[in-house]
Amino acid sequence: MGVVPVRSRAAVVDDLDRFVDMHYKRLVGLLILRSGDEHRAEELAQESLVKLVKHWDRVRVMEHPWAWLATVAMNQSRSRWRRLAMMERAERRLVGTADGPSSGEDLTELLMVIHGLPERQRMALLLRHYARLSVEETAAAMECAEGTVKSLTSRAIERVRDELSEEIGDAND
Amino acid sequence: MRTIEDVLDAVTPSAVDPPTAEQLTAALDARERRRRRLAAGAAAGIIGMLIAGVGIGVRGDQRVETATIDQTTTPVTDGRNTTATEQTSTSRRVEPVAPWTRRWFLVPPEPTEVRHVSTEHRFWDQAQRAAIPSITVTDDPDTPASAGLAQIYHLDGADINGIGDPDWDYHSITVAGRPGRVGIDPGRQRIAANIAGERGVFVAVAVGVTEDEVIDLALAARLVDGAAHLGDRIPAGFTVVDPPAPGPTDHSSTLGWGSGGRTLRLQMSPATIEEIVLFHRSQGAEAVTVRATEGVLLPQPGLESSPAIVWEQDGYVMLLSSEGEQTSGGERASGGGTPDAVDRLVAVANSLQRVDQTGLIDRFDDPFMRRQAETVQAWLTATPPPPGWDQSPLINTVPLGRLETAVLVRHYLECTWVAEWADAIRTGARGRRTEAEARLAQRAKWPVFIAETAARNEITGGPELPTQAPAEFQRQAERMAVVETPDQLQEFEADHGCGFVAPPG
Repeated sequence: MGVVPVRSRAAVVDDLDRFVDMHYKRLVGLLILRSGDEHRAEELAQESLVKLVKHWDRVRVMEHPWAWLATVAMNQSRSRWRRLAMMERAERRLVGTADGPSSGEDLTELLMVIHGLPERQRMALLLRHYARLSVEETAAAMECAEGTVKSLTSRAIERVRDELSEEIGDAND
Repeated sequence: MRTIEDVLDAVTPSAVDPPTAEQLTAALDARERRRRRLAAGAAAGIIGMLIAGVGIGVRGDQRVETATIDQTTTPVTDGRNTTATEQTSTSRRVEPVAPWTRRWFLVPPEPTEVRHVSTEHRFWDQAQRAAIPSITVTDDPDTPASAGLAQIYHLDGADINGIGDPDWDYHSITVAGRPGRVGIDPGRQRIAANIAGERGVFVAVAVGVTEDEVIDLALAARLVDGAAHLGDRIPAGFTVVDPPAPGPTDHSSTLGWGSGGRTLRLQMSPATIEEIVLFHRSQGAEAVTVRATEGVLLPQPGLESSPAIVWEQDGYVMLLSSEGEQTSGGERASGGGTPDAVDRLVAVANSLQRVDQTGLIDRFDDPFMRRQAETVQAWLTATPPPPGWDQSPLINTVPLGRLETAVLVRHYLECTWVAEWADAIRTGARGRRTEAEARLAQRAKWPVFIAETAARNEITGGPELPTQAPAEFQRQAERMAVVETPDQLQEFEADHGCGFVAPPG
């Protein structure tokens, strides 16, 4: 086990700022894909980051702090109450009755496809191919075998490909 | 050809500003402060807040009485004992008030001394009947033990100052041009905001939230089809708790049994865990694992050796509590129960067995439940209904539960005699009227009423009706005696009617 160097509080805060700067957009993007709602995604991102701050002393010395944050964010948005509320909002957004997505019809279609995926397929796809977690990290986050992750992502990509009617390159699993 | 990464990356927002570490630390500090300051507080006074001071339709002694809202009824309690809710209704009917239609139950593994079984309308359904459905929100759906929880209602025709608990500290506010008042429960740290609406008052009652948040929740509510809705106006950080899925019954049931010198009570409610936790939570609630799921350990202020735990199971919320625990001098747990008391309670919860209705009856050591039909017949023989009333629907639909059975039969007898009395007035039958009044004046001595009182006292742990009901009966008798005109009769029936007025042909 390596020795964790002692750093000043200011340096630790700087580390946190840099980490948040580096990952914030991807965190929000992950939660948009997860929830279908940009505003809600930002709220969830803030909540996840508050948890990060709480555990920063422990997380910052991890080998892959981003994997920890992505997992926390996904789990946070997974509860059934939250999911139902978000799905409802996402549905409104997607049919254009509420504050719609800012990125045009293609994204709307993509979000609909992502939301049409089974829960575990969606989680595996997003963690693996959007959050860029390794197969091993994704399996740890989902508490399943690595083979399961591969199988889930493969089926998810196949379905996205079919739904979007687009040739999409295979993932490099 | 795009890769899946290319496709998904298109969602990455380009114009979002990350919060700074300083902002995040401040948010964390605020959350922790809020947790410490408003960690808990039971909302057991919600009913009392909503109704006891509302001043609409309340009559007589408010402790066990009924209020009429939109021609339906809602129980009034003193805010201390929700299981003591009186089922007296201003729209009584002969139909069973508490049909026992639950398909399964949890019971102790060994045959034991079952002390009582009862059912009650869950308050929220009562509220829905009264056209004031509530919305439950949480700021952390993963941890009901420590989350901020709130319920929001709308009360038609009510006034902001007419709703509240006299023991709470209130102050007036005006927000967005709307008058209101905020109340804080000095004992259990509950907080409530009453904000005026066009047709009445929006009420938010909460634990674990700040004053600003509870005001925001009441302000966010809008009236849609006569009920409060938050819609998209949910304040940041809160989510609406999905209501419980409709079950085979809208009643909660309570099973009580003795074990090792203590009394254990298991309440089974078609509710959400948030509702139950909000209703019962007080300082120091914490998470506990029970029956392989995450439940909530609830302290009972003043009863540190008698904890309670709440958990969800197959669409119902279970509340298991223990009374009369023997302390062993152990260290007091932060959750409000001594560690050994908590462990014993969790062990009891884990040992409960799921049975069907037959299995439940098999556990009864209660002679009443084994002789229910004979007992009902004995009550009806001692206090027969007026001539011409068919008893078979009543006998064939008696519910499972001593109290419920007695309430049902007592309602039946009261209502049939009131109907007889009203019909006698309409037809000028003086003798029938005199007899009906004499029968009703003797209600406190009816065997069924005495049995009901005994069952209720056993369940609630103290005398309630004996000191109140005779006075209420006397008031009613005095009022009946002066009824002479059709208008007076109509007014009486509006207040005391049972939903039917004429005896069957």
